[in-house]
Amino acid sequence: MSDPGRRFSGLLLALAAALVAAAASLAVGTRTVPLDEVVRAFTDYAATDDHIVVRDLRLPRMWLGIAVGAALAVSGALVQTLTRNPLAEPGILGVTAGASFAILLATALWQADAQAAQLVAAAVGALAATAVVYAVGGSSPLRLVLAGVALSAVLGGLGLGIRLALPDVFDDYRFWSVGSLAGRDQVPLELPLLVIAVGLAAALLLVPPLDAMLLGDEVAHTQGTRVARTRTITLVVLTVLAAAATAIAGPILFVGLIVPHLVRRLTAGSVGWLLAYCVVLGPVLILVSDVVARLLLPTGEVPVAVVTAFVGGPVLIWVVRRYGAVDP
Amino acid sequence: MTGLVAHDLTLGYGERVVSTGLSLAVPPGRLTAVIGPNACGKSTLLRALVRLQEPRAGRVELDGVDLRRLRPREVARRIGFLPQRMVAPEGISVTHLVRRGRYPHRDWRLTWTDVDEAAVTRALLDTGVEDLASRRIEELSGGQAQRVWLAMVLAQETELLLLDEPTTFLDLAHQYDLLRLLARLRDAGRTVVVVLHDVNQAARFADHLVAMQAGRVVAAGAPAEVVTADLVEQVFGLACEVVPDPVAGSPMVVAH
Ligand SMILES: Nc1ncnc2c1ncn2[C@@H]1O[C@H](COP(=O)(O)OP(=O)(O)OP(=O)(O)O)[C@@H](O)[C@H]1O
Ligand SMILES: [Mg+2]
Repeated sequence: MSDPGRRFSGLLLALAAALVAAAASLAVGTRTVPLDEVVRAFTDYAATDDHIVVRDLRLPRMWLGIAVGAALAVSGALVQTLTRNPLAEPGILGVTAGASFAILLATALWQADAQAAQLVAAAVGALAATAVVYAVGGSSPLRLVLAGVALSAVLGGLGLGIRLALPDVFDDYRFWSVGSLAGRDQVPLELPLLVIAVGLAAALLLVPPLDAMLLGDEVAHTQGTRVARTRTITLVVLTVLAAAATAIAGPILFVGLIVPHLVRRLTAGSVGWLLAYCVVLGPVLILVSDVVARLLLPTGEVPVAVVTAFVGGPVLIWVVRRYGAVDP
Repeated sequence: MTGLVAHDLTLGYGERVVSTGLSLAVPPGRLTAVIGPNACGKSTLLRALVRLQEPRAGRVELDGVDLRRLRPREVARRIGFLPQRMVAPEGISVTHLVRRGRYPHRDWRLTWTDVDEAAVTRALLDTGVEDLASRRIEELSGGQAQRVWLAMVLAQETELLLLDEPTTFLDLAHQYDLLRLLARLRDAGRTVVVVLHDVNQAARFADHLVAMQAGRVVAAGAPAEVVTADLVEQVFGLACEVVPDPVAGSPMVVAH
């Protein structure tokens, strides 16, 4: 089959997988709701326990998973494209470290253990850390990555110090740090969700210039792309996406590494296809991981982060062994 | 002044100054060849002419307008540039790569028109890579890849073409194919600037020859006037005779 044909049917398959994952995330859990009952919760709402679970508990959580998954995967695709590094993920720009440290600091200083406070702290921390990284790294991808890694190390060390000195802080932090979609539905999420939607739309506008930049900065430039401006905007968009997702769901940036990497060989040479696949498959990985997490430990919460790593890691290893690695 | 003109450029990288007081007028509708030893600043000059390199002083004008005052898209529709080295993303096919050359001509809707398709087909034919159309760029030989890159630049259909060593990876026959193609493009009214290392090829095919040394233009003019034993000695440090080319009659350098 031709390349475009394969890409198109592949995307249809991915969409089908997303539908199944979304249905599963509504049906499966401590209380398993049969699929026809799930459908009835929308078509013929009767406020039964099943319907309430589906519409009030699981539906928001599903949207959350979709938004977080899409944001992380697209953010990862952008950072890999920009740095021409197939192992890059948004965390190397300091997003995760900034968010984690801000939560620790906020908890230590103000006992800010409420979810809403954590959300704000994570967002502020992620953005502040990235601002520092940009200030140091300028527009050179390599210097940005070095600055991100250095800042992450420093913040990681300081954070460890706080946790050792103040054991109480550790408990509150732990819940966020393992990454989970649970309980996040009790805080106002409209803002981060809106931010993610705007970020995804902005990413779409970046497709043509980024496509041109795949051929190198020189060619892109002589084809009329504003290279420096595109790079700056892309960095801002990918950081905002990663920061919003991290603030909502904790440090599950592994999604941002693995999803773009998996679809790379199908979408080679086209940023548009890469982003399309990421928008669909990022949510699949998050939703499947969330469902598996609920099944593994129905009572408590197995963090999504742990499961994404469990699900995604072996898949990544299999793909790399089967097809070899592909450069961005 | 019409066409592409460089006024009094100072060019460099960081601490290193490559050229000072460099001026050059590209004759419109002609085939200009730039020659000179390695590291004398040929690529740097070309990069400045397409605004890849910001001059420290001086300016580059296109039809009397400072390049910096033109929109990048506007410049891209008028000047095509083939760099000395290219990066290809893996997995992209030859056709898709050549299509990228149409990027500056497409509007925000990115619609693909018959004009775009015709330009791509012509570029593939002109460079003789139509048989490679469905191959992946990373599977090509060095010379095949170089012709594909040239096809991409040709598909851009600009009135000005700046090519940095387009013959480096080509075998002898393909080198002459390419030079004849450049002459045809010139005959069709395009302005071509090409960096060449083979002085004999440059003298035979160019209307206008620019010899550079240590960042300066040492001589510029018709090949018959520029290519002398003294000049080759001065620019390349090579003792030689200059005799008429037995086929074309253009000056031919034979080393001692
Ligand atoms: N990116 C760069 N950074 C620093 N110095 C550079 C850079 N590119 C080129 N130079 C230096 O500028 C000078 C001119 O280089 P340029 O590439 O213009 O030479 P050239 O005439 O094209 O040579 P060649 O025939 O080898 O291609 C050289 O001394 C080179 O080392
Ligand atoms: Mg050069």
